[in-house]
Amino acid sequence: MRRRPFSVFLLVIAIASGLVVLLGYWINLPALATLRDLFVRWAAILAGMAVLVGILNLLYVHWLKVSQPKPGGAYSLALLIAFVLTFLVAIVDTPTGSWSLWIFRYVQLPVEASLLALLAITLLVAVFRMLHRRFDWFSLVFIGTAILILVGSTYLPEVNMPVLQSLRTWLLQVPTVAGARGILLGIGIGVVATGVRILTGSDRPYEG
Amino acid sequence: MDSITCLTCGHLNPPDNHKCEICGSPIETQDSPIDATKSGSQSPNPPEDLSSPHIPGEIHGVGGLLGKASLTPAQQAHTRLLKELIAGEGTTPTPPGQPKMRANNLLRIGVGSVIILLILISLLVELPFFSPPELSSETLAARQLIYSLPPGAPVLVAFDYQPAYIGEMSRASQGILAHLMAQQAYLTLISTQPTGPALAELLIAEIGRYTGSVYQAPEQYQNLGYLPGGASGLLIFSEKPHQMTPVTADGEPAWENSEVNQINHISDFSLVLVITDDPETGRTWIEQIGPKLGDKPLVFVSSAQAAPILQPYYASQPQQLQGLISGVAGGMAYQESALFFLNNNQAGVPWSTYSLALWAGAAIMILGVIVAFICRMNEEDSEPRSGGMKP
Repeated sequence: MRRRPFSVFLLVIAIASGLVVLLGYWINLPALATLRDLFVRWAAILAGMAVLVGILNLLYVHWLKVSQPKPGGAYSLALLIAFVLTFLVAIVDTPTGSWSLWIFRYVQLPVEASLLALLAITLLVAVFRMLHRRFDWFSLVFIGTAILILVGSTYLPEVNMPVLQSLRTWLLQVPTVAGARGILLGIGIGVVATGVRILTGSDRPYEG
Repeated sequence: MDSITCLTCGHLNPPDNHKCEICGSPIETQDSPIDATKSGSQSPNPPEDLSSPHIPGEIHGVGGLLGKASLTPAQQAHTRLLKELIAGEGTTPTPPGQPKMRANNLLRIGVGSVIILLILISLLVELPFFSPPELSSETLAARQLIYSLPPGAPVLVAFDYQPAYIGEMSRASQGILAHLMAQQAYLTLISTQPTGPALAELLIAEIGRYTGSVYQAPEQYQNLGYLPGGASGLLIFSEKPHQMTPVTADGEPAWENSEVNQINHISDFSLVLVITDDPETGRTWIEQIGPKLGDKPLVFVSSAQAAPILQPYYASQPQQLQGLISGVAGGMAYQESALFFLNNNQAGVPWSTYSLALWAGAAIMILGVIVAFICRMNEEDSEPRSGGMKP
């Protein structure tokens, strides 16, 4: 398959940048280290700009919904008004000023915490109904483990539960940590593999 | 004629087969749009209808997205699966019968009511049933590190959690933050999340109210605000903190106080404390900041869900984490062991209420098991089955 010149240009830029940053950590050359720092700083600035672009895109999408009346347009209007108000307050009062913190404390925190609290109820209902849909040993082990962790997390002064506590500790220290180590190793290998694929040009996420 | 690849399992079948030899799935015929690309040949026409007028910004199905790209049979199968999933999202599911809907809603309302009622009762009535949680070795290690800090020691505190987790994370971190303030450490606050700086201000002010020693900026702490760039941003910050964050969240010049004006590298801090609910964020801090700290300790306050992923870093030799406080239980154990500052009624929901809610959750699960077992017994009585419980 023939590659367009622009694709080749992108490929060269990506591989060269990756190699410079990688070699900058291995080879002790001041010029290479300076270039590496410059590239990493650019990456941080671009990532910061991506947040702004994301906000602008969100506003644009909701502006379209408001300007072309559709069902649910009122929610988009509410979002735009809330954004403008919060933005103005943060600009005038600084992001950590008392007015900004008032909005944060009495609007954003309750909304987000309430949603998470609903998740706890939803999960309990899901567990309650799980065995109706699938009654097997795996489901019982799953529910048994969840009950053990929940009950084992509390401490009753009059009731000594050494077996329960020991079992909970064993579950958290042995199978859970073993699984976590496996996940971490998997992530590490995955990151190396992805890096090698991008450095060799096999993976080109920048082409869109 | 070429052999035909099964889209389900990838097995190569003889051309005259209508079903796969391995998995038994039906094999596409010559008329199928997918069939045109079998054996690696290129599709002359994408399966979607591309005759509709093109609107900028819209993706016209999978065909529009892929154009004339050559797809392997496995990719075709994945594409088809994705299309089915997306189509399923767009269709309204057939509403279940009214009695079932009512039963589900009743169950939701019942479970929610039980939990809320128990929490309210336990808040109104003092419950002496539950003992405070025990101090784990990793929490003890964190406490010893804070005790060893001299007055005015510069400490970097990262507030990297979502506002939704404020209930758990503030409870987990109040003790260690109050301890740092009691040790008169100079706090430098930072966050890799846009909401982090506001969370930091709220928590510092709240602890000041509970303990009676309100910290003042910039004499006792500085809030550097949001640090963009994820792992890259952290990396630069660790090497050149002045360059990356020259001003505070309020726009004032940072690093002017005598406790921090000599800090030119992350290892110049006496201790780094990261408060996070997310294992990925925790991993990024350990990987980017940990190796640069030298002999300076790195301590984490994590949510209960992130703790199992972070635990191996504490348990490893050499340690990559020198202290770990996990969840509400860890925070409570820290406060109880340090014998100070916050009592249950001041600092959020009491431990007994939290414990009671956990027991209520466990009881609801046990009830679910019993109800399911009874229902299953009734079903087996009405229509006997041959097999027992599925493995």
